[in-house]
Amino acid sequence: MLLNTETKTIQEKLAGYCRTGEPVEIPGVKHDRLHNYRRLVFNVINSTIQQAYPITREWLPDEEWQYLVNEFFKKHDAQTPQVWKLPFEFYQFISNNHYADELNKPALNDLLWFEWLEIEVHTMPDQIIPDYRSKGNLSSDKLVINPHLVLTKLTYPIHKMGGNEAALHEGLYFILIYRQKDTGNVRFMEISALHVFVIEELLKSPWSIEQLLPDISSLFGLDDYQTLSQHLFHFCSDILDKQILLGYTN
Amino acid sequence: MKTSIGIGFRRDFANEFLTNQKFTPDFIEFAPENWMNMGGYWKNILDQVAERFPVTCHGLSLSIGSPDELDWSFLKELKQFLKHYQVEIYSEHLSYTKAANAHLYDLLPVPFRLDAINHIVNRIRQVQDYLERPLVLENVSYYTPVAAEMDEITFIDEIVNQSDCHLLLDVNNVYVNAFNHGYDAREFIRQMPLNKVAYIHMAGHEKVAPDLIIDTHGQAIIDPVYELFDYTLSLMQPVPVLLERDFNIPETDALIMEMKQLKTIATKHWEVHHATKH
Repeated sequence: MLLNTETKTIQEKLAGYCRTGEPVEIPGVKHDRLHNYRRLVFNVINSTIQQAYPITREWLPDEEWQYLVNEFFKKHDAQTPQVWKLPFEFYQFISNNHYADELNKPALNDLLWFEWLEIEVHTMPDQIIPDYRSKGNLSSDKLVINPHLVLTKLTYPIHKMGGNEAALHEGLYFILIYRQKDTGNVRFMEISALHVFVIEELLKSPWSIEQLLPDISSLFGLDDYQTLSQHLFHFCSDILDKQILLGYTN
Repeated sequence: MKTSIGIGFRRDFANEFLTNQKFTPDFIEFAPENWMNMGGYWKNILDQVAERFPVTCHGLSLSIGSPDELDWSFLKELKQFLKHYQVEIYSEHLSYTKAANAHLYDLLPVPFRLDAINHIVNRIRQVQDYLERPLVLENVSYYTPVAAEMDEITFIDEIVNQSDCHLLLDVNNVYVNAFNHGYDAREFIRQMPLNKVAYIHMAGHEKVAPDLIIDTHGQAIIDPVYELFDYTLSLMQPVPVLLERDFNIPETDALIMEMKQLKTIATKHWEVHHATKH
């Protein structure tokens, strides 16, 4: 490397000061101005994370929020060159280092994850959408699903209540987060394990409800084909209205 | 050559680019990092805007002055992005944003030192070779010298001349630095390698203390910066000029007025003057 060790160390000292605020000795530096760099860098990090997690920000008291952002700023080496992806690293840092336990906020990780997934779905690269017809037979035609979605499971129902209350309802919640084809808006819905199976199968390949019935019946131990068929019909009709299903194919 | 006045494309007023018939910049500029690998609503908007206006890109995370290694996977994605949007000019900052394996997402000043020049020149050459285009580097504002062994103008001049990169002359940054460090802005401009300037940035700033200005891009351009711009153009051949406004976005009419004022000054030097010569 053409850069001297001394110059490299000076550059790292300045960057380190920005992250920690701990005093550094750098030749020629005007100490009464150095704090501006820390302030500017911190503002970028803080505002980026705050914009990504508005619900978390509103939920946590100011001192807890500032504590988490400061911990992240000081201890985490930000890896992405794209600052809008930094909130994902924030989620990983908080969840890997057990801050939810430390702050006694059991639902914290789920809420951060959910808020990040909304961004991820909103911005996920455009996928190729296969040809489909908008009219068809919901029971017998193969169904084409909107690929711009993610499935996730939560331990706390932060998608329908505040973080403190959600902590009282520990369980298993399956959430489908999707991007509407026409508007690009992101929506979500809570679904069952059976619905998760249906969505996962449709993501692999178009299937009709009739084709899916045997596997679902076997996997979930549901022998009443008629009731199961009606249930799937209603579910698929609902997600067709919501643009999660786009239409039909042969 | 027709004077070309552009503006930074920002999400805060993205729809104005598509719907406001009075808002007609000659070109737009955006940070590739804010749009790469993105689909959905914003990609759709970007595609429409890029279809309507010529595009330049002004990067944030290349970190050409960094002590860390160049990020080749980032450069690979960047190259594809620049090709996809047929970007005419790709510029970056003569600063660093990453050190000790951590991005900081703001522009830190590189020590004005000989080894830093050699290091940066070598990196510029690598980037230019890989991207197959000249790199255009902006003179950045800075608030304190850092272990300097030479003055700023020598540092910039050496890098531009040795690397054969181009210069993005930020006139506001020259004004800010001249104020913050007590030198003559016009003298500084005169010493810049003006024949290597690919385009010009103009922006507003904020005075946060009697002796300190921060380059915020959150205010209108002030008259002394217009005057410095006027002086600068008197020394230069025509290049595109870009208005930067990143925060505290005003009504679009105010931005239109600023672009109009830039165009009036540019036209005075570059159209009338050249017409008279011929």
